Amino acid sequence: MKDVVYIVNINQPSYSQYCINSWQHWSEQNNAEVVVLTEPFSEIEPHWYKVFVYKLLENSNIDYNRVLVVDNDTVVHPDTPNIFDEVSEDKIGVVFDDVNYDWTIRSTDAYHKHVFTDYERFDTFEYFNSGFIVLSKQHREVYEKVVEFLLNNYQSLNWVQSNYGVGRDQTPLNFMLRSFSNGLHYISKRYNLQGLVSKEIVDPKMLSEMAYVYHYNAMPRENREILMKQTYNYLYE
Amino acid sequence: MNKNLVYIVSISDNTAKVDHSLYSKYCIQSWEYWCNKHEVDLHIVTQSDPRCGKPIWNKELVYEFAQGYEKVAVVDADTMIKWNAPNFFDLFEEDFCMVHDDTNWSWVYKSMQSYGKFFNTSMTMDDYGNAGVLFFHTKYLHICEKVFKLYSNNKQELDNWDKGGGKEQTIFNYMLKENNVTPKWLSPKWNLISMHKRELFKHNFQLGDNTPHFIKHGYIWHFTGFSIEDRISIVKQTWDLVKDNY
Repeated sequence: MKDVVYIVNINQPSYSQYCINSWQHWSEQNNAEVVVLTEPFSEIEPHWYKVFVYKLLENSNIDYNRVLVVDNDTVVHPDTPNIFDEVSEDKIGVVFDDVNYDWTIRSTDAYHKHVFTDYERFDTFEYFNSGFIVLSKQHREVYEKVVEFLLNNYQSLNWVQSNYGVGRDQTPLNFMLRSFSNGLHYISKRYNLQGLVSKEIVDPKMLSEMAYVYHYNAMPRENREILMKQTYNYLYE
Repeated sequence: MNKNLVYIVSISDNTAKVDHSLYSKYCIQSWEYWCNKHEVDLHIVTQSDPRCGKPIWNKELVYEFAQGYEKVAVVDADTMIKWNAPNFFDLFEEDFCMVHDDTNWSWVYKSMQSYGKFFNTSMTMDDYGNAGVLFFHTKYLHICEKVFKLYSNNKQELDNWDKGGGKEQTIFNYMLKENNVTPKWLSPKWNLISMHKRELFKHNFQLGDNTPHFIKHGYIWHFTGFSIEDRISIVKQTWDLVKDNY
């Protein structure tokens, strides 16, 4: 039975080819399989498709062991160790999101005030990025609860985004996963290095020596395309 | 003498472009209040030891001053502690504590490459912390002594260092690694570096909360990563905002 790398890639932006190719290469080395979702399947905003990972794998008759849910704007280094070895099966593996605290604080405050009123307002510096989440079969029930919550509160969740502009899935997942699961396990930022421009590291050689997974978020789309291509070519061509 | 010590180097250097006391005087007031509240000794180094070229190397001399204490904090003079920050000496026993310094990865990369020549070990970002706020049991004072000895043995080169990458921080990190000291990594709230880059000077305007994020969510504010001129202005503005709490 293989582990799965699950990537939502609706609209298939051109930069995603670098992401998917790199993860396919890594998966071949690590007894894993890349599963890419390209078609919309409901009226739900595609940002939320990541939380349907278990349903979609099972509906597609894909047998799985561990699951890595990763964004389509990431590139993985070919020599990255097996990510699943970093997290025990009972924990959900995540990486801190430390790029723009103004956004994460306002997002957390807004969702806490309007949707997650009865949930603990977790520590600002424990906010994680939802673009890289390590799961196991044990978290199937956790994600069932997430989907149930989403469907029951979809209007309220959308209302927050419409009125505050503070994102769709990431902050709600921060509330739900820490509440519904046995606990989060924070792994090294080298496994999900975000905010590359802010952290002043876009040079492929430097990246390849400093981190394993490069996340091209928090930058204009045209820069993302150029930088992902540059890094991919350095690592794989 | 209390059992724990906060140690700050705040030396007005004649060769500096600006007078550092213009901001450090506010930072030190915050530490005076906090130390008094928690019965912690505070020692401010205001005169450079003749053995030191740049004043910053006086930090390492804590190994001489702190003998007899149980735990020590070495903090930079551009840090301010929140009036109601809990007693951080209760956070650890016989540990060496610091906060990761990972807001500028290329700077760290280059700094590691430059200073790596003094060591026979390698580091990753997982090993790298900011040396501006250190909490540790005094059993680790020998690390400071070793750093000072390295400085003394290479004084000419380090006093005239022109390769960038800071002064003592990367050396300190290498020394920890070389001596197999694995730090206890603390939450960023205990050393908020590069606050401007991470948008922590802003406030939650959407919910009508005028308190800047760094004041609301952090315990130790480290005014670094911007020009000295900006530092003076920002520290002064911060102090004006919070001084009534001290």
